[in-house]
Amino acid sequence: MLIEPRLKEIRERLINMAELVENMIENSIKAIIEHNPEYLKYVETNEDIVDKMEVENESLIITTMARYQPEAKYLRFLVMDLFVNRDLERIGDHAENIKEHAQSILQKPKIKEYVDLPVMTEISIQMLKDAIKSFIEMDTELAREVIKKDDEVDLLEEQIIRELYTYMVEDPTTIKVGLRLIDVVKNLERVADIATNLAEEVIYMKEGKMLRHQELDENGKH
Amino acid sequence: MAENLKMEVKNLNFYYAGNKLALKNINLPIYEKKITALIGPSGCGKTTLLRCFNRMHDLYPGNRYEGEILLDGKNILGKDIDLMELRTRVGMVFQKPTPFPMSIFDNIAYGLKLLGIKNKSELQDRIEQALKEAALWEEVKDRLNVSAFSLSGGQQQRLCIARTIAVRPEVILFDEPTSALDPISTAKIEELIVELKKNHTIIIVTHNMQQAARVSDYTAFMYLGELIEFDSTDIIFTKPNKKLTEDYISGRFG
Repeated sequence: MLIEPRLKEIRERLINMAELVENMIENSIKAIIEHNPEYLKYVETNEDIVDKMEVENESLIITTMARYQPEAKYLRFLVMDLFVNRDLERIGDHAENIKEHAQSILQKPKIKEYVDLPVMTEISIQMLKDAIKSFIEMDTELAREVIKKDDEVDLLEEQIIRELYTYMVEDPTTIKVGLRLIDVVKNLERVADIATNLAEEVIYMKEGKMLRHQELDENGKH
Repeated sequence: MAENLKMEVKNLNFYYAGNKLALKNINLPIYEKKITALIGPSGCGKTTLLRCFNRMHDLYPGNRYEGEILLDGKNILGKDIDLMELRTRVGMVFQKPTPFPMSIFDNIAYGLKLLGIKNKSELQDRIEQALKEAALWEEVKDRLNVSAFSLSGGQQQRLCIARTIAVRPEVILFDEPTSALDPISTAKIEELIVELKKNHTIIIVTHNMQQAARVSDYTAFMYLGELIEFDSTDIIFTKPNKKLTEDYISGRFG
């Protein structure tokens, strides 16, 4: 099929973009955990590149739809590619947000050693990696693993924020950094959410039907 | 992107016998080792233009060209042009498969013999190579001496493509090459055409817009004997510049 080399090219571009945004998130958080602004350079260098990639990929996907008039699985794949492209760009945006908070956080001394933040970061990044892998390999089992992990990230988010509150209540001089850190954690939680959405999309894609509507059908409603 | 010009149409007017103006001031670049599709509604002049590239119109008296068509910089509409040589350099595949009433082998050998190739082993090599390039070799290698008419429509068309490429043309003209074929054979021919651009410059006329979209790198949209728009196929099928092109692509007329 003439469309196949194009689909392959799009997938390769998305894999490259995924790797880039994963590394951006990893570096932005590492800067905070290791209290070292050097890591932020990676994010700075790549944020415009990711934006450019999104625009190029979208144009390639739309052109492919226009030129090859895909049907059935090819259509579902391309629609999925469009979602993934946008999701990855959003992850890039979250890395950018975290970077901006980090720039402010790093101007003050650490208010505490980070214990849960590295764990939350590791799980979120792993979710993202697995979500992308499940998308590339159309592995719905792996996608289901990703969805399960979202609760862990939510729990860690709550826990970290609760702990930060206690620091801020005890010592108001930590409020400025504390509020920034809360934003960082929320951004990270959004990354895990996006990974979860991606995984859900993989399941929809492989099974060729939307889970939401399936639930409605089981209840006898439309 | 840097493209090399293989052919170029400059200020071309074409009149059929009886002075009927069929092409009006056409200007069009044809890039080397790319596929250019000519599209447009019936009667727009796309086949007329295609037949100018190897001067097929000269087969009928009274037809007249004005302007120039350059092949590697040389005007092929000039009087001193050897038409036999021109048609060797610019080959053509027609709408309906047109095998000669002879064996598969002889169909391809025909053009080669005209070129003066008589050596049997060279003939065999060239025929095998042409059939391989036309993705037909595996299907016919054990029956090269049976009549070409024993092949299916899709196979006959691939045989015609093999016959065309056997003489190693630089440019290949395709005149609606799949309009007489079923969808599976059509897909095979389309893949073959894309494969052929590695070594050839290709111009294809098709009334099937999606075919132009799938196979071509550049698309020229024609209407009532005029070239309305020429651009990369990506642009023509996503955001054409002219409203007329947009209307045709989106199926509003034609």
